[in-house]
Amino acid sequence: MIDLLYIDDNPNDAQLLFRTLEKQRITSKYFLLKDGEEALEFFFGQLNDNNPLPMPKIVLLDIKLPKVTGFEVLQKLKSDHTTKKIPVIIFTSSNERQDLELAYQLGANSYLVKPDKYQKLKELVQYLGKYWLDLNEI
Amino acid sequence: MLTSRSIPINEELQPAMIQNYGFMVVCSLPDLGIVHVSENIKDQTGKETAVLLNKPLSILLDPLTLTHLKETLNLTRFGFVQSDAGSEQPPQMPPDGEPDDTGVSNEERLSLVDAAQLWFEPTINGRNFYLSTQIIAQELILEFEPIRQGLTTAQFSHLLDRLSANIRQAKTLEALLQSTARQLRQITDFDRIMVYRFDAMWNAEVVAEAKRDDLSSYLGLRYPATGFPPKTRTFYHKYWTRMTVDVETEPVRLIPTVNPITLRLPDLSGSNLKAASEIQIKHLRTIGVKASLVIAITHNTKLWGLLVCHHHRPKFIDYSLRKLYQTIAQILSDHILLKSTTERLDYIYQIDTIEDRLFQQMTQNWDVVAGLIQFETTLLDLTECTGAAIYFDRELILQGETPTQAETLELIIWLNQAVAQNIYATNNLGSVYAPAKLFLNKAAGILAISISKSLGEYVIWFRPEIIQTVTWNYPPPASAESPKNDTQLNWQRSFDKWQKMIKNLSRPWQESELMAAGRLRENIINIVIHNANEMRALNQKLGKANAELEAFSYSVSHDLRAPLRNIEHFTEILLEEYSERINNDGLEILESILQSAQYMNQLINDLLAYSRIGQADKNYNHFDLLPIINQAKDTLIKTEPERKITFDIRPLPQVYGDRPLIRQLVFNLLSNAIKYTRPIKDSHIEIGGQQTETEVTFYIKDNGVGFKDKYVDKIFDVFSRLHTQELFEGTGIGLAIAQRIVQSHQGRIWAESQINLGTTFFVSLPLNQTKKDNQEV
Repeated sequence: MIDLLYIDDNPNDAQLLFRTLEKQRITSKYFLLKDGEEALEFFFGQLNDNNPLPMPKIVLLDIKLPKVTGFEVLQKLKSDHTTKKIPVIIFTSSNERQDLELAYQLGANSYLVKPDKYQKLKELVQYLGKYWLDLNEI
Repeated sequence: MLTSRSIPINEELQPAMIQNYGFMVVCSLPDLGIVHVSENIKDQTGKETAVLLNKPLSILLDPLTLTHLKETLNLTRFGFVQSDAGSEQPPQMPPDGEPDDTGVSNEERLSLVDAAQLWFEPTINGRNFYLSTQIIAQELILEFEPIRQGLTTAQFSHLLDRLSANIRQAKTLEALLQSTARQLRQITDFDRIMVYRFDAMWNAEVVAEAKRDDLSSYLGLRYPATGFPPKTRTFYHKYWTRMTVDVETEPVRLIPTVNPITLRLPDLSGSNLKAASEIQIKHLRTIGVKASLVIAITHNTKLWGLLVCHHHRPKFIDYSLRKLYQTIAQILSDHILLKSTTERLDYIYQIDTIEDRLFQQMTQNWDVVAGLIQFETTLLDLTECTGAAIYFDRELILQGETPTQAETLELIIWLNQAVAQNIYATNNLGSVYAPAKLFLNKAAGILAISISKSLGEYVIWFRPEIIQTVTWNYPPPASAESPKNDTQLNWQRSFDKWQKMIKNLSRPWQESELMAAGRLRENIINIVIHNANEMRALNQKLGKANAELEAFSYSVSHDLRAPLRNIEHFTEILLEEYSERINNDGLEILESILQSAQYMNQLINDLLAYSRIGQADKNYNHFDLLPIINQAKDTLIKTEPERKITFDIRPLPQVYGDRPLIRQLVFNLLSNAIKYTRPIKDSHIEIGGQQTETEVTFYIKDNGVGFKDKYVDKIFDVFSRLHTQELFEGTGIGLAIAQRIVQSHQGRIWAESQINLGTTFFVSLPLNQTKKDNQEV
C-alpha cells in the first residue's frame, strides 16, 4: 500500500519532500514517478491489467513534467472511474491564476504552491498528513 | 476677317458691294434673265448697264459657255437647288452658332449659301475671264475675274509637288506650318504669310510666320475670339478663301441695289468678289496692309486655323493660284490631323515613360515621397504644371509654384470632404472652392489624385490662371506716328472681354494627363500596399518574437526558481539540523549562500513580473489613485518602521487603467522614493496630480539622493542600477516594470532629478477616449 505517490521530475524537490515526510513522521510509504508518461503507465499500463498495483492514498502532482504534462495526467486520472476517487493535489512552483483555475477545472482536489522557505515546507507536509492522509483513513 | 459683332454696322444690310478687280452679274432662275450687274461692267466688258439689265444672259456669254452653264445648272438644280424647300437638314455648324445681328438665323443663311460652285473660262470682248457661279436664294450669281498670271497645268503640278514634298518632310507640326508659310511666300511673294491657330474658345494665335525681313514679327500674337464670329467662321469653313486686292480702291455697287421683283438685296455672303467690311479695311490699314488673302485650314470638319497672307501694296492673286493655295491648305489640313495625332501619341508615350521612371524611383527604396521628388524626374514632369504638392504620411511637401502650406492643407481637407472621385481635375477651382480666388496665380486649376481617403493623402498638380501665362499683344501700328485708332481700341475692348471670359481659368487638363495621374495613383497605392504588407509581416514577426520572449522568460523564471528553492531549502536544513557540527565560519558561508539564493529569487520574481505585464489581459477601469497610494504607503512603511517619513498627498485625479498594474506601478515608484530617501534625516515625499483634456498626470517627488541628469533615460532600463547593492538593495527592475506598465497604457513616464536634492517621477496616462466601456468599480 502506498500512502503518497509523488510525480515530479525534480529529484531535489522529491528528496526534500520525502525527507520532510519522514522527519515529521507522517509516512514512509511514498513512491516517486519522474514524468507524466511513467504516471500513466503506473495507473493505466498493460502490465497492471492482470496484476493491478495498489492505488495510492493520495497523489502529489507537479504541472511541468516532461513528455506528458501534469494537467494531462490529472485529466486522465479524473476521467477514469478506477482512479477518479483518488485525491490529487497539485504541487507546483507556479502561482499563476490560470494554472490554478485549470487545475480545479480538471478536478484537482487541492492546489499547493511549492514554498520558498523550508519552514513553510514543513508546515505543508503537516497539513498533507492531517487533511489528506488521515482523512483517507476514516 | 476681323469683324466684330460689338460694332453695330452690319455687312448684310449694306448695299451689296464688290471689289473692283472683277465684275458681277446676278440672274434670276430658271429663266437666266439678268437682274443685277456691277457698276464697273462697262470698264470690264465695254457693255452698257442699260443694255444688259432684264435681258437674257445670252447677251453677255458666248453660246458655248452658256450651253455648258445650262447643262451644269440642270445637274445642279437636280441635285442641289432646294434652298426654298426649307425641309433640308441644317448643315454642320461650328459649335457656338449664335443668332447674329441680321436677325437671320444661322440655319437659314446656311441653307441659302448651300449651293454648288462652278467655274468656266469665257472670253468677253476679247478678254479672258474666270467665271465662277453659285446659286443662292433662287438667284444665279456669276462672278468674273481677269486671268492674269494663269498657271499651266505643268507649273501647277510642279508647285504642288514641291509643296507637298515639303509638307511630308516636316518633323513636327510647328515645322510643318513654318515651312508651308515659307514655301507659299516664295511662290507669291506676299510680304507676310501667317498661320493662325484657334483655341477651344476661338481665340487665334499666330503659330507660324514667313515675312519680309524688314517687318516685325507677329509670331505668338493672339487675336480675341470676337474677331472671328460664327458667320465669319462659317464662311471660311464653307468657301475656304477670301481675298482683298486693294483696301484703297473704292468698291463698286450692284445695279439695281434691290431686286425689283423680290425686293431683296442679293446675298453675296459666299461671293469671292465681295468687298471687305469697313472694319476689316480699318484693321488692314492700321497695320499698313493693302492686300490680303485668307484661306481656311480645317481639321476633322472643324475650322482649325487660317492661312493669312498680307501684302503692303495692292496684290491680285488669280483664280488658279488661289486654287493652288486652297489645295495646299487642304493637304496641310490632312497633315495637321496626322501630325497632331502622332504628336499626341508621342506626348502620351513621353508621359508613360515619365510615369514608369517615377514608379522605378519609388520602388528603389519603396519610398513614395522620395521617389517623386528626390530624383532627376519629378512629379512636376508628369503633367504640364507649374507646381505640385504631396500630402503623405502626415507630411506636406510642396514643389514649384504652389499655394502656401496652410492654403494647400485647407485645399486638401476640402478635396477630401467635397470630392468623391479618386482622380479629380478642374481648370476653374475658384468656381467650386472660393478660397482658391486668393491663389489663382498659383492654382486656378488643379489635378488631384487621392492616395488614401481615410488618411486624407493626396498628390496635386497646379496650374496658374491663363492670364498669368499668356502675353497678349496688339499688332503694332504701321508707323510710329499713327495714333491709337478705333481698331486698336476695339482690340483693347476685345482683350478686356477675353480677359473676363477666361478669368479664373487655367488651361484645361488633357485626357492623357488624367490617365497618367491615374496610373501614378495606382502605382503609389501598390507601393503603399507593398509597404503595409512588409510592415505587417514585420509586425507579425515581432509579435511572434515578443510572445516567444515572454514565454521564454516566464518559463525560465519558473525553471530557475526550482533549483534556487532547493538550494535555499537544503541550506536551511543544514543550518537548522547541523548547526552544532559546523563552525562559525561555515555557518557564515551557509548564511551567504542563503542570502544569494534569496536575492536571486527576488530577481527572478521581478523578471517574472516584468514579463507578465505584456502577457496579462488588461481590464481597464476608472478608479481613484488615493486608496492605491495609501495602501502602497502603509505596506512600505511597515518594512522600515524606524524611519520618520512625512507624506504630502495632494488632490489626485482619477485614472483610467488596469488596477493591478497601476497598483504595482505606484508601489514601485513609492518604494523607490522611500528607498532613496533613506540617507536623508527628514525624508519628505510629495504626491500630486492633475488632469487635462486628454490625459492625467501624477507625480511622486522625494528629497532623496537623486541622480545625474545624464542617467535620466538609463534608469528605466532592465537591470540598470545607479547605486551599488550595498548602498541600496534592489534588482534594478522596479523602474523597468514601471515604464513597461505605463507604456502598455499608452502613457509616458519620465523623471527629473538633481543630485542630493531629490527626484520627481511623472506619469501621464491617457484618458479614456471611447468612454463607452466605462466601468466604475
